[in-house]
Amino acid sequence: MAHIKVVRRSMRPEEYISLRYGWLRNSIYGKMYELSDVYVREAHQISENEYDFYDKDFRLLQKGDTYFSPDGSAFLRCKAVISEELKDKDIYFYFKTASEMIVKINGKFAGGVDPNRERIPLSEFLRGDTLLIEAEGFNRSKPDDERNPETLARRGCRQEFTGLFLTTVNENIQSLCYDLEIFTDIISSGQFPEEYVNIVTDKLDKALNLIDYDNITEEDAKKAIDFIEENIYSDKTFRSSGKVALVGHSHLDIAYYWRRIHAVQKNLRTVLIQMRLMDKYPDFRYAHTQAYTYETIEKYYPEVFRELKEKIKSGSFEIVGAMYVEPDCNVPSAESLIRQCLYGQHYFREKFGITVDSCFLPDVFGNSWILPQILKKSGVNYFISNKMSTWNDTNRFPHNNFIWRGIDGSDVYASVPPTHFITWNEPSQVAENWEAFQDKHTDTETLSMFGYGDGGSGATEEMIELMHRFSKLSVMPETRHVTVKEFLHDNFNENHKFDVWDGELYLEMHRGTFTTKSDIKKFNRYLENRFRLAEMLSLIREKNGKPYPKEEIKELYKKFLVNQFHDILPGSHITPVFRDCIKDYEEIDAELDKIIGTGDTLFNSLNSERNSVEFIENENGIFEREGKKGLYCKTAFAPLSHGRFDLPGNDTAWFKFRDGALDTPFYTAVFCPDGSFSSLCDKELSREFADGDFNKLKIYDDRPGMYDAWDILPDYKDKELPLGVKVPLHFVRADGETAEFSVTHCTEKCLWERRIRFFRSSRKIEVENIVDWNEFHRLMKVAFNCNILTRELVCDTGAGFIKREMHRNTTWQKARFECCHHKWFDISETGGGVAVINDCKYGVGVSEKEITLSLLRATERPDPLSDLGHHNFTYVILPHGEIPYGEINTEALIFNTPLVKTEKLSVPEEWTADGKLVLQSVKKAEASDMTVLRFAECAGSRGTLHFPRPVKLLNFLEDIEAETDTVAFKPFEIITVGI
Amino acid sequence: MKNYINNVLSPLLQGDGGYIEYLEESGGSVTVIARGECSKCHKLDLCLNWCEDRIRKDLGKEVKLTAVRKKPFFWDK
Repeated sequence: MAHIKVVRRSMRPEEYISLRYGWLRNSIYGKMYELSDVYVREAHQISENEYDFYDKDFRLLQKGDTYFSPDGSAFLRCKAVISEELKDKDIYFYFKTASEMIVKINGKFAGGVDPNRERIPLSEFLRGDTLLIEAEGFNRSKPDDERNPETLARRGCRQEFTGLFLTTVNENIQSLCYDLEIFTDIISSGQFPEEYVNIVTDKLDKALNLIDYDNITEEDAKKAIDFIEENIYSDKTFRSSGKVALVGHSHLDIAYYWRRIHAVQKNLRTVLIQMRLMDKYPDFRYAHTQAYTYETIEKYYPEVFRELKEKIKSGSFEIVGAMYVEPDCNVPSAESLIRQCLYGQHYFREKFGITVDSCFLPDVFGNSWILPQILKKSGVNYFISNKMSTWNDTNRFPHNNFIWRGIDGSDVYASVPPTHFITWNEPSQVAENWEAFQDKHTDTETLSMFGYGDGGSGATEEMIELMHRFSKLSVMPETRHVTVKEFLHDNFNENHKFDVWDGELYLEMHRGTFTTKSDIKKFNRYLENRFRLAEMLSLIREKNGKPYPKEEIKELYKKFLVNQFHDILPGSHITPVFRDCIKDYEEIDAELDKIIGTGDTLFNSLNSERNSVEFIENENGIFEREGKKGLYCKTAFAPLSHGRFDLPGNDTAWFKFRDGALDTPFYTAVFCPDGSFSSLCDKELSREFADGDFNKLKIYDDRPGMYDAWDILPDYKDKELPLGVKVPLHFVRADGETAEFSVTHCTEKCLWERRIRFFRSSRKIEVENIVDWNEFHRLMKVAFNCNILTRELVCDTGAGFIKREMHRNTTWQKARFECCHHKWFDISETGGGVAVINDCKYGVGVSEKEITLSLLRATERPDPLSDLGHHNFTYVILPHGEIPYGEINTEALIFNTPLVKTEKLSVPEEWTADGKLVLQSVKKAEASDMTVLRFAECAGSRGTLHFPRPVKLLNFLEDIEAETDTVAFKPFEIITVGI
Repeated sequence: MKNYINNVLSPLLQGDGGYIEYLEESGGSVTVIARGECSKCHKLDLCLNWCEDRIRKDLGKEVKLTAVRKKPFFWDK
């Protein structure tokens, strides 16, 4: 039975203050002059700045009419004559809307209105007494800020038109409202001393008593303002400590609850709003990330770009974040993250003459340990990212201003601000930021960001007006409005008091994003490898006279990098974003196919030897892998060379299979009917590797709540669901190299076939998964319980390995129950271990005994169709003796980098680097004819590279730093040289 | 009708994080399942009116659309 708590009491002073504040807000504007001839034309956006119009022409739009449509845009047009009463006054265009409108006045971009802004000053755009107002609106169910109750109530695909108006602003009443915004926040937030709150409440009540609410006037408002000035602002009895740096910004998701094509307008609106604020408030500074967003302004709105360049030059508009977009920083490879910096920085250098020294990633879902090195070698000394401080579900991240040490020992200055990256600059938010700041001993400012975000738009007049009043409030920490650069340089340079965080910046949340949207992750991994191949082959062919397609590759790469944005690659987006992404990938793949070409002979693009068993496509092959026929063959290829492979014979006597027991040259294994192994005994090592569920599929109920696509709950294992076996494990086919077995699992909604392949000449055990997945709120994993005593899970990061504790001694280990890895993970003890290599999976479940590879999820928000449909992916189980991790990495590279058909190729000797390091990339330099070689140390070793002739030592921006023929390297270092 | 709702109208609603799916048709009434953002939208009826209008224009049929809301479990309070 529902109960409503009834409170019988008179109104409290703070409630009466709040009520009167509401009355004053309703009096901010003078007389409203409604514009009568408003016309609308509705459309559906189909591409960047391209629309399908529902209406052939504009139609009349009247107050009360419904307009906008699902996923719709609306173009408004209105001609007006300024009435005599408004002439010589500061006139404003007023439009209350739940949509996001870009507004042009008399042909010039004047600004934007949206759920958080309702007016645009017109004086600068007036020419005579006529007005042409043009607005382009875009309507989302999800407004910029979900915490605004007024907009929440109005959201929806269809909107009621409430009219366009011209009006004036009652400046005193407006100013008084800003004061009231400050003091109602101080009174209600609980963030300030009770005594002070009581005094403010009393004096504010007195100030508001100076106003006649039956006839609110500018004169009365001025009296109240003066009273507040003299009686509240001037009271310095209560003093706070602390220093807070205030930075204006706007977080813009390139795709999320909207598509990439809509971000063009979101970004324009944001930039316009911020530039207009700079016009009004000369001291205002605003930070804007992502080279991609600057590119869209340049491409589609050149006149705005010209103004933007001026604002950047003057220092009001600050470029931050060296990267092309704000990418996910878990799943992309090292080379992808390097390209984010390379293309971002080169754009900023070319267009603005700036090398950005900050990495600005407020919203990313944790940051890989490989990042500091990549930043440092890309001209970036400072790193900012918020989520670890405000979103961690278990532990409080212990630092806010600190030094972040990377996997290779590189250091960057780091700021993880104590509060959310979206604030509206309320006094309580600033005070809370200082209170939460954990590095007070460093004598530095703490960083507080303000501005609406996710969908862009940024700071408002109100935020700036509040900020201008902070210095009068002794009860607040000392504040300083700065650029990001000023904050970083003033606080970090020459300061030796910082603690060091040596490790990944793991986010204790959003652990599902390593797995959600499996197809995107698979395509991303595949294309990362295809780009490498395309650049390599293009360079080799250039020596034979074929032009290197530099610009084409760059444009394809940029398109690819956009899709690594932190709400695209992690899978936290609506259905159309998924479709856009896959379409982009298919287009990129088709273009890369043309560049890569084909030939009659197989080529090993790795700079390591290749002695393995690999699937070779062959239309007469008896095996089918990922939809292609072929044979598994023993391969022998020198680095970066052609080689040979042995076709297997028909003799299948190399293995025996009876009653679930398998005997091969490497193993005696006992299968369970569900395809798991009750025993996996290594003959050569004379040891058992299975100890419990091993290679066993497990399906779990997966209901993390609102953040469905993002999260996996710590207790997901508590509700394991039955998984049927439709066709028990059975022998399928074999030849002289391969024996294939199959098992088909089922639920009511899903069929899951596993083809398990053992080999005569390789320790690898390959498991291909062919899935029809129509589950809902389910998580599928494959579990490995190994007969290995270790407390360390070793995971590939894409550029070196990280050791993660498997025990649950403290909350820090407990919170890391699901981690991100790249191509492989391994658990070993002296004498042997088990590695699991994958072609597209990133989530790994960590516990004391059982390690799981996360395979598929089925989430509902934001995409009700997420991951439904067909999937095909493969992993490899690699039991091994005592081998260096570098060898596991080489096996993983072979698995992820298939042999490719080419013409006869010859590769320069320098490219191999004696196989000591992994040739991560070989490309043409962006700004010269140099060949750029990038090598990654992935084994944790130290040594020296000797080149037959002097090479240029480069940073990741391809700037020459030295010339040498020997390059010393340290563990996990990535080295770039130019030839 | 099923094809039009699932493949023409629904993708538009998906653009707002919503989702509709054809369920059944009887006489002049068509029922759809509303999921995602649509399942809790205050303006779903207005949106369905717009869909009816599109059906009239594109298919030449007069229908009354009704939605069965299927909220995700975390919104189903």
